Amino acid sequence: MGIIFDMRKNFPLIVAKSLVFSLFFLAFYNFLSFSQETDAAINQSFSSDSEVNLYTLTDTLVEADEFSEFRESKNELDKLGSFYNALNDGGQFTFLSIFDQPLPVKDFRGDETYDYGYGTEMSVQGKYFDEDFGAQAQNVKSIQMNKNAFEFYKIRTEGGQEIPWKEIDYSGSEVPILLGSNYANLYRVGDVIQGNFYFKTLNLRVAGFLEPGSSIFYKNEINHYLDSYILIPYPDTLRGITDEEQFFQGILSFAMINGDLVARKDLSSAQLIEDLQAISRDTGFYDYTLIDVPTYLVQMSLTKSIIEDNYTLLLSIILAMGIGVICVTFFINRGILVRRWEGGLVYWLLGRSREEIMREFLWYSTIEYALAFLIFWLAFVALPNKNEFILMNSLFFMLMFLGAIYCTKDMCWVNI
Amino acid sequence: MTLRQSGAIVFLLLLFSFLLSALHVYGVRQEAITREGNKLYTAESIEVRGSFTDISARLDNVQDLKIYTNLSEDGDIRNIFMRDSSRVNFPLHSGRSFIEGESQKALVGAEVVTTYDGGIEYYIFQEKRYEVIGHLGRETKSLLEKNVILNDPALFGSGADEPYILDGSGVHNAFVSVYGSENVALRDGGTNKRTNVDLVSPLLKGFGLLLVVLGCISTGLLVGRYSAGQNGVQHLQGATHRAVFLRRAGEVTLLVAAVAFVIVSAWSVLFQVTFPVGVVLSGFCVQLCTVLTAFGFSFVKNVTGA
Repeated sequence: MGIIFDMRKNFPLIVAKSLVFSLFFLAFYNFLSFSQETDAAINQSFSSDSEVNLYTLTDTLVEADEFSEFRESKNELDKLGSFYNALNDGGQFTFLSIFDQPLPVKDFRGDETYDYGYGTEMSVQGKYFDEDFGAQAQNVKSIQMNKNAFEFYKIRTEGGQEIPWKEIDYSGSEVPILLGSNYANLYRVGDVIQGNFYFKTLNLRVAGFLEPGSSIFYKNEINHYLDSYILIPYPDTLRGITDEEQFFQGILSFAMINGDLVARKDLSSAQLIEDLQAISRDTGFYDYTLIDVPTYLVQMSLTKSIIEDNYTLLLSIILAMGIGVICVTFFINRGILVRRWEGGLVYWLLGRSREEIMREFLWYSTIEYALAFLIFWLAFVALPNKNEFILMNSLFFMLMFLGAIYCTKDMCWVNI
Repeated sequence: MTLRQSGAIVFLLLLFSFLLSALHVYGVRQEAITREGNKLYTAESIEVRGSFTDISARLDNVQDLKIYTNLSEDGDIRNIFMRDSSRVNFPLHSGRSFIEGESQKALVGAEVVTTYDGGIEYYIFQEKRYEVIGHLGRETKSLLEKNVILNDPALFGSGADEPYILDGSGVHNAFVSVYGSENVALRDGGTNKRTNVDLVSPLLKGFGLLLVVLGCISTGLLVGRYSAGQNGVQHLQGATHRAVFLRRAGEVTLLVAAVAFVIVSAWSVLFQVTFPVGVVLSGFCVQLCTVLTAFGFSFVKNVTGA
């Protein structure tokens, strides 16, 4: 009976207190969820092993004649192939081979947001009838990369699937690919997509989906997200050129040697060039040039500091809110205590023991906290960023926080 | 009201004014960080193709519309059109942003080459001089250090279709409802996309504001309780309930105003943060209205004995 009487008498204060607590804990939960993502983002793209010098390697066969002449010579292409293989084996550097292009996909299930031109200054082409497929097709955003690039940018799949890099072979029956996170509703793991890759029809088997927000440094932009891309892995090594596939392999080889060299910060560019020249001497391929890309390191450190500044900012606002909550609680608790005091006095005069009265009042407080948890829970269910691990953490913190207040209140009673 | 009770009220008012002002400062800094990590755009920005004159005329329901056009291949030099320049919150580490009715001015990052003439800094683009009025980036070293924003209507093409970037609240829906969903693309997020800050930050702000409102309500109720005795005596002495209420309300108004003054001064003295007049006024009004409403509620309850 006592509890119901108390609830009726102190209803507004009890509700106010529960609201204050639940609001603060919702804010705190969100802060924890944010700080976890900040950690993950820093570890993925901005850790110390990402602090490297980046150089871009491009071929210098810019004249159309020169280029086609080169591609018609099997001997030259073999040199190029061994040059790539030597680059990929690395020395004091890591070679990241990355290239993007429109990929015509037969009977594509997505809309125009996957179109190669979407979000660029090029126009969106949309669905069209493709002669090669004899069916409807769409030119989709696609990116190819080698294992080094994949590992350097710490790209991961949602289900933890791995690419069998050693088995990538474009002359085989199927090539495993990864799809950006936006594709999750369009295709399933195991689906086979038909794509026209450098004028060759490939059966691309979906091996997994990239984590949302997967990104690489590409075209001088550190925030190059892959969410609507099809990621095609490059083979580990370029095999010898065959007569029937010379056209395809020629284009592919050129695409593959265009990429970035990653070198430790203490490795001078002179040393790097020396390394490259040694590879050229061994393989006989000299038609390339190396460009320093200082933008990478600058963008990377400044982007990192933006993420860290954001964290500090959120931390300071959550601290300000915490202080506010503690002060408000103090006043509300006093208000409730004063109102309950008379009731306690009556119990005392009626002959109840001090312990009994205390126990009764602790029940009243329990109601307040239970209500706070209830409100928190109801709002939590509606949050889009639910995560059990963070929930456990914030629940633990809440119990500590509330326990501390609960105990101080208990002490108040002893004093009275 | 005893001295201790008045002290408690002042303390609570100070606390919630501080929290309210802190939430505002937070919002401003958050926006600066967001924009710096996203080439000055907000998360609502879109890429479109169309005619400048047509777009600026037909998207008249987007009050804070901004239209950008790239003047360099890498997108570092841009020209801007603003519908309302008071709503441009670019991160600047010195100088000021564009003001209404001003053109032929430039905002530049720290690495941009400029010239000085008679103590005035100029940026030269296509042999035309633009006075530099502010420097982009929260600090000198920033992702915007190579960026230039010009404010020159003459640099916008005439009627032909060209690529533009539009920014402003609800600009995507506004554009689609006028032009359809062709020729428009959502931009793929800046640095904020790496974390869930775009989700968490508005939630934190919302919870913070609710806390302030809840706190102000409590303060108002507390004023009502603490002053009940005094109010009763004054009524017995012949003052009408209305007069007593107005007297208390006047006192509360003065108190809230004084507290607002203290908080605003404290920010400017301790952290060199200044608030626009409109922000101070609206914060003051929100706080005063909530406190007075709660006090009025408590007053009526005491008078009617309910």
